[in-house]
Amino acid sequence: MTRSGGSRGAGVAHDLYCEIEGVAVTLRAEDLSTAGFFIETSKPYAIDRELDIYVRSSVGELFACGQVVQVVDGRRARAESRRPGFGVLFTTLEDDQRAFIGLTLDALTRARVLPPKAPSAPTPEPPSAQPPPDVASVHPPKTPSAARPKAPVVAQAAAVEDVVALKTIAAELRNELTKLQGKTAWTALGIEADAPLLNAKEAFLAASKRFHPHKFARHNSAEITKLATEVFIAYKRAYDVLTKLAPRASHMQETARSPQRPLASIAPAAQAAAAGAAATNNSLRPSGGRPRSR
Amino acid sequence: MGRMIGIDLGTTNCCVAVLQEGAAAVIPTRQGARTMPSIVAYTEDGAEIVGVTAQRQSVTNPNRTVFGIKRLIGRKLEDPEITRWRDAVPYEVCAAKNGDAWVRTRDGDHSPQEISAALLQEIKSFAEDYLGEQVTDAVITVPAYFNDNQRQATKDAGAIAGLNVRNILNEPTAAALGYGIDKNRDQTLAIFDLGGGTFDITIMRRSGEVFEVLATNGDTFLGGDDFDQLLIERLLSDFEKEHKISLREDPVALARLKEASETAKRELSSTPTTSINLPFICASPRGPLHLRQDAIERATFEAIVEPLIARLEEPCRRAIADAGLTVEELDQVLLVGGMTRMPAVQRKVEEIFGQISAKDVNPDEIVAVGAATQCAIMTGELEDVVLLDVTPHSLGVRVKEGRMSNVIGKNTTIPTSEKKLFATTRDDQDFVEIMVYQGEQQLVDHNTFLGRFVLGDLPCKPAGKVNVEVTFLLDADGVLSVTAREVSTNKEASVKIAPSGGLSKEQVRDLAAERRAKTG
Repeated sequence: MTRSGGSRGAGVAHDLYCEIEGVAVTLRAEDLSTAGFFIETSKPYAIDRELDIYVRSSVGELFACGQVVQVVDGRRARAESRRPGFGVLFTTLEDDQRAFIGLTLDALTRARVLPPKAPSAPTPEPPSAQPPPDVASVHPPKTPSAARPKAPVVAQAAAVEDVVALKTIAAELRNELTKLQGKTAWTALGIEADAPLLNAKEAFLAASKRFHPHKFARHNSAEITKLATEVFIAYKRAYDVLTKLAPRASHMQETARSPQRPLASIAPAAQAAAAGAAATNNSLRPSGGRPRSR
Repeated sequence: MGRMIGIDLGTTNCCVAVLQEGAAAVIPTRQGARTMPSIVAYTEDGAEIVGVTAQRQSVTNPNRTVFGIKRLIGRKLEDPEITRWRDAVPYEVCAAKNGDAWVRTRDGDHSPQEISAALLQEIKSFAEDYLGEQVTDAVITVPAYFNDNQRQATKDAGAIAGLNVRNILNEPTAAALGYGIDKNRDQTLAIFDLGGGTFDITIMRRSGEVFEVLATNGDTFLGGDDFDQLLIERLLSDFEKEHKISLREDPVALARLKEASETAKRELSSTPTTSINLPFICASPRGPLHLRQDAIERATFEAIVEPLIARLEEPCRRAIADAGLTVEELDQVLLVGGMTRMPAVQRKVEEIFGQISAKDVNPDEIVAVGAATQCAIMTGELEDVVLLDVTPHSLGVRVKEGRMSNVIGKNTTIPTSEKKLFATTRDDQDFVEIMVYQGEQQLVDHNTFLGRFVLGDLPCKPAGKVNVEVTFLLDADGVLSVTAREVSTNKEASVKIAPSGGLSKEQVRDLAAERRAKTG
């Protein structure tokens, strides 16, 4: 992985203020997402430690709880040539708190785009060229996020090719997946039960824009691609339930009566499982409560 | 990661594009052309030449000049289409150990993957010169109707050429992306793509920034080369009637005929008559003979190729029906591929779709432009645009009596995952063999075999009492993984389907290393 030197506007650090357990720390915008953040320090908290977090930005402030999910101590940092510090995941975050983080990142990105574009020199900047950090840091920052000024929150974190950044994207996708699991097709797509199918389509297309695996291709991470695939499929399934399966209810009953063809085996011979059983086993998600078969 | 480029790796021509500051730019070849002939030749001293230079020497070196390699890639020698193709070309087509169709020259046997890699390497190299930076990644387009083996082989060709192929994109889909990105409208499109070797028809809906493929159909062995071939046949038989001499065994004469027929075909798209004049085509006891036809009329040519034009209709009707639409619901027809310049083809399109096609399309470049657009989607440059593609073929498993049981139907949006429950067919059956196929036929023998695996240690129960749940996961790049699970014990077995033929991972690695060493 090549690290390119980039700019971290000197003002950025001041636009974002963060306290952990009542102690001020430096939190960089690149290291923050709606799932969690990474704090660069030579004295990380212990793994699993629960923390009280306070963040303030030009848009407002946030009180939240988090848990340490990753620790990079000095030795590990040297061995893996990365920054020492610790990664925190927010334990619970309300919708308005997530929105706060999204808005904060947007505001900070805009602030960074205004000054002339940072040179994306292939060689790392010398550490002295950076503003003196509150917490010890000798590593240059990674990909300048100014290069992707309009990137959405999920993509924002990815500009930093950092394990934690990838982890937070993965965590967001996992959250999304958990969120979808208990829902019916209607609530998954966020539409009323009697809403016209056109609304379902709009909701599905909007979800596609956010979660299609190609939207995550640049991360080059098999895990993220897999999670995005699962989220996309969950939305697609909800959409299929509403648009294809429901109107074809009569067709479904018909197929339920016809016997399922058995799998060919090495030996010949007979008998098929009833499609009724097949149908119950085939339903993947409790959501629609509808059997799927083709 | 270096730069990512979009490549239309065509049967007869290649075109390359990138998105620069939001606008697509076609990358010119070293000779300054906007497309490169898909021709690779091996010279007397064993050197490999590519593109227009290879085309120039094709008449004098027909046995070692390979064109139309896309027709062979990912196919078996025994395929009927390959047999026909083999009889028609001056170079030798042979079988590899696994039955794949390869090309034999005096320098040895070459897999279609290696030959395609030669094209891709040339593309990578002139693109790097043009862009002034390293090119490491690519989106390569293939006909929508390509099967898994053909797609994987194309991916391997990229790997051999030192390119990380990030996405194999369907050509008609690419064309729609290339056409529509600056036209923010909601519309339903038919993309009619008749290229040098393949025919694809895709029905697609654009809703704002979402491009959604509704259905796709086609014929992987119907293209411009077949039109040339019919004209060549006619010229050969006319010559035979006149001089009682067959030119079929003379590779140099065939190569000259091929070139002349292609030119005549193109001319007939814009003029009502043309002529072919090939002096000294062969020697006879009475002296040298010439092949000369002064007036080949467009109408005559159209009559010759009528059977091919008739074959265009069925896939179109099927695709429209599969999309759940009627012809009247289509807003626009895009014509893609050089063959759509032929008036008879355009008339057929009008007859099928009842409307005039969009005129603001460059059929030679639009696919590459679309591939470049997909690159921008994947790098995040075009953050709002997304492309929802479908699987062109049904995927299923073999059930008793050699029948196919579909798990994922054709034209399903990908990525997708489907489950299906199966039962054992005899008492105390202790394992099942899951055999995976692709295709629309009822009997698996008529479909393409993709892979197999075994789920063993099943509980001892009467026939039909053991249930095996089979899950197909088809990812956004069309790669299929299959899992089988015994329902009562939760025992699982799974396989990532690697195509049956083709090159092994090791072969691809070695060929890539070889190629790197050669070019230093």
